[in-house]
Amino acid sequence: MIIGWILLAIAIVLEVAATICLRMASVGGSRWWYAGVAAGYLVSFSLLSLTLRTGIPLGVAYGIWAATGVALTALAGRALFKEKLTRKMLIGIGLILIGVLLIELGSSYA
Amino acid sequence: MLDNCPVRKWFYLSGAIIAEVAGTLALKGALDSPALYLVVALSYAAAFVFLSLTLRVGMPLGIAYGIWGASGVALTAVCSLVLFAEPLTPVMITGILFVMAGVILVEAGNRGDDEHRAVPDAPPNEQAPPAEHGDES
Repeated sequence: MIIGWILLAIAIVLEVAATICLRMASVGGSRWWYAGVAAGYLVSFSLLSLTLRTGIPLGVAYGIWAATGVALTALAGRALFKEKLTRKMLIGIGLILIGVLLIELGSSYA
Repeated sequence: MLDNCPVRKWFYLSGAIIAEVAGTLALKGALDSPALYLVVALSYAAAFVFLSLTLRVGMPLGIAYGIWGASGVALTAVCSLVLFAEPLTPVMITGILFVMAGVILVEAGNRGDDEHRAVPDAPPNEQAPPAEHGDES
């Protein structure tokens, strides 16, 4: 189970890295960033499916993966691209986080 | 070519969300009919193209990714109820409401002042106030 959580953590880091690559590719960057997008997401999804084999339920793994990805991406956008992050937006991201977790956990333990 | 038209931004983001939901639903269906894996691949590719376009017309990454990911999860849950008769529990419905409130808050907070641009594409519109002649200190 511990190994499952480690794999999940790596999957999340790769997801965020791939999303940053997508931003670099989309706005003014070289097309080569798209290679990072594809590689990052492919490996991230593979690790996500590996975590399921360690016994973590799909809804739990996917919920944490998606929710943490959203939060970390917002922080990365702020840190790397100087994006605006107001108090209202932080609360909104918090609500999105809780919402995604509720939907996925609710489907897992239905 | 591509401007910062707000309607276009939402059009692209909606396209990305719909494509992602289609891909995820096809993935569930592919367990029964493997031909659907083709739909999965095409849908996810389309989702990322649309998401990339959304960023290109100036939507900030944190906002675009948050709305895209969360709306995808919420819509997939609703569509799974319709297509696969998967249950939509009270906990999940609460989650969907949280997501909706969160998306509205994030967008409202971002709209607070609209001068943020991911790409400063135009030189700042410095309209000097009409010069007064001479007599000001």
